[in-house]
Amino acid sequence: MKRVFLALGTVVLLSIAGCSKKETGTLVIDTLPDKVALDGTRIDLPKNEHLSNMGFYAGDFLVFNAFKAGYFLQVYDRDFNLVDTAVVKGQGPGELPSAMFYGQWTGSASSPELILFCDPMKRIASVGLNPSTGADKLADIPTSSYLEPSRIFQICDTLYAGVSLSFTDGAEMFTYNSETKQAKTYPIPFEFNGNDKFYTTQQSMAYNPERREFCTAYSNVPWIVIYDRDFNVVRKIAVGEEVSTATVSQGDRHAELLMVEYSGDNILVMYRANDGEDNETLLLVLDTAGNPVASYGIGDAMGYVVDSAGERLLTVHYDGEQDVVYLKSCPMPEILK
Amino acid sequence: MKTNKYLFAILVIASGVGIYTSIQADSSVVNVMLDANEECLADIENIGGKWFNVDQIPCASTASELRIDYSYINCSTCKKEAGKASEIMNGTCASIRELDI
Repeated sequence: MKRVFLALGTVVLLSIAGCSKKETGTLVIDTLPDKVALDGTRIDLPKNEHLSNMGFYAGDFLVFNAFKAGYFLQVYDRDFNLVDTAVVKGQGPGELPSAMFYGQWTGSASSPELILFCDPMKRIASVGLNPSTGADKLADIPTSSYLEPSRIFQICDTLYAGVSLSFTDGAEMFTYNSETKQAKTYPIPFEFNGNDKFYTTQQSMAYNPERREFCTAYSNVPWIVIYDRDFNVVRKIAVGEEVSTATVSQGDRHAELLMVEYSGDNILVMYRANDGEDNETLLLVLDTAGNPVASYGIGDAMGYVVDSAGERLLTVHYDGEQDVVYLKSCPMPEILK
Repeated sequence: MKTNKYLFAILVIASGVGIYTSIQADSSVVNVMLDANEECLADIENIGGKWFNVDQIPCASTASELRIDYSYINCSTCKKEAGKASEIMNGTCASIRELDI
């Protein structure tokens, strides 16, 4: 009887271990899920001549990074009324000479605090919306750390993580501890050669605070990498084709991965095949282990914004004739609800 | 050899614009350095007793797409700017980093 229990126990333990085993290694997604077309109604936001392709919902507000404007952020309510322009230029002492918002915010939905990065000062700061507040310094990254953040997220009070894009080494993951003032970079998990790593290694990054995981998507080669909280590579995922990074150069035309974000239990990544036949942008939905779940055709979109509360997906487009950026409001796919 | 001490000077070598001043190095020392690190593809120069790594980075005059999630090096300024570089690269910029030897 004792042996039977022992054998049963072993089987149960092995089953549990099998179920909880993380999917690791390299995954090649050579066949994408069948495409479902998503289309929506066009929305022209006020001051759309200053919109960029990069917007995020911060609580109840839609926040776009702006360019060629007298400020750095345009803020809209849920009805797409322009309710604020934040980080205004020319405020004098204490102003941020530049600001980028990468989608991270704290506080309440009705009064969010946006976490921003000011590249000229290498400053991480927060600004409040509703009511608007000036920039509060969270941390300054010393120039001696030689970090050039192109994405940055606050992990806890004193720890920041992101992607640093330097001229010669290209894009590397980094962490910065504002208490010890220590910066650390992590090697790129691929071999890139040549003097154009600045271009070939560029990548967007998303942070999942619930799982304490990171995901990066290379802009010029179709590779996604999922990292754990210590920046150990959990999984590398090739989308569409397994491009060798060792021989890739700036002028090569491979599939592109344009933006990456976590949304609930999914990773969303924009994919453009660039194969000369079908250049429609796809929004690929992967599970958090990187397995493909769904694929949505989103026309010529160059960005997207997930509005979880409003249950809609906003795709971002460029109107070349009018030289403006506009949105399309699409119903939220069931899988993302 | 660590190259974690970056600098400073960014020199323009855009095609036809001769404002780059070539820095001559002691070739025997350079060879020793290159032998010590075969992966080091950049030029290594000695300036005033300090060693520098000089890399030539491709630059572009225009961005073909105004995407702020891409960056390119502008040939006119040799600075990082938002946008996806046009496929035609017009020249190079030099990035000089002090070597921590």
